[in-house]
Amino acid sequence: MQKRQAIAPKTAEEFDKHVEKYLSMVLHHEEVQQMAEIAKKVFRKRLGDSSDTLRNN
Amino acid sequence: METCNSIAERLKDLPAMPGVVIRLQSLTKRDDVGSREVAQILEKDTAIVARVLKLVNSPFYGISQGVSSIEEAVAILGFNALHQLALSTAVFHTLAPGDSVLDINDFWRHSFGVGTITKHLCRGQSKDTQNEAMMGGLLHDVGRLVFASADAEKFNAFYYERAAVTDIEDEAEFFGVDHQTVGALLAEKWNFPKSITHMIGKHHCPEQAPEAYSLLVGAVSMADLLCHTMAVGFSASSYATDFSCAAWQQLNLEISDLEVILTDALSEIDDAEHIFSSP
Repeated sequence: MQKRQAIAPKTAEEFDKHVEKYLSMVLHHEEVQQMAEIAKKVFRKRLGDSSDTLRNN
Repeated sequence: METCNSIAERLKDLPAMPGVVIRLQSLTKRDDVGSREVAQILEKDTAIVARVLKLVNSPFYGISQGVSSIEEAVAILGFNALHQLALSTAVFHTLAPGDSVLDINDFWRHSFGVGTITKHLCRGQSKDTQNEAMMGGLLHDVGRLVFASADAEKFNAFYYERAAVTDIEDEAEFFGVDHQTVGALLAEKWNFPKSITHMIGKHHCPEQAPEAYSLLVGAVSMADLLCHTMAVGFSASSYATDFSCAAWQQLNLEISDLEVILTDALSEIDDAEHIFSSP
């Protein structure tokens, strides 16, 4: 199976935490928030689970 | 505090660009370059040949048959792509981070990530522009390698004994010059193409890029922001420029396009994972 190491966080929870922490360091733009949501969606797809199950862990 | 001039002075002490790459640079002015001619030049530096062939044979390039010679690689990829590969390979090979605590694998991963995403953000542009996007993204933080290579102790003191997020003003105060400026100085010294020099020198201030290069500079700035947001590698500091509306508009993309762009780019970065261990 292909190694997936491009992104450091290994779980959706870790990834979301990182994204939120990062967003708190940049000026708020609606586009950045939308980008962050897309990044979270792409990350979940990479995990093979695009459901919201992990989001609320 | 050091002055900008003293850092610039130190650039004179940095290793010169490998001779084979200088000779390759001179070929870029011609449009009748043959694959045998390129191979004859590159084959004089076996370390670069080995690294280039390793990259060419990685899944990133999607070449199913094994590529065993530089001549073959030129025939398949074209001279421009191979020249850029050789150039970026030489940079990472030449600027060793010394005794700094910089994790070179993470640095390479971040650089490759920014290069790949920059290239995908430019997917509506010509193949040559996409190649420049990849190379400029790959080299955008080369100034930090200059800092690490010139004075590892000072590098460690700044990036690892202070806050994890250090902006370019902090860098300028500490080193006398920020990493994008020193990177651009190196790019000029090594005769990089102007587009690459501006991508390195303005990636934290894309609005200051000359109009002719504003699309590429905006793209690398956006890719840097995306890589930091998603924790793709690490290049000593998590500082990235804020979102630039002007840069985004130039790319002529919808936010929704990012789903495909990020999916494709991350897949390519995954494919290249095995090359990060020995850039």
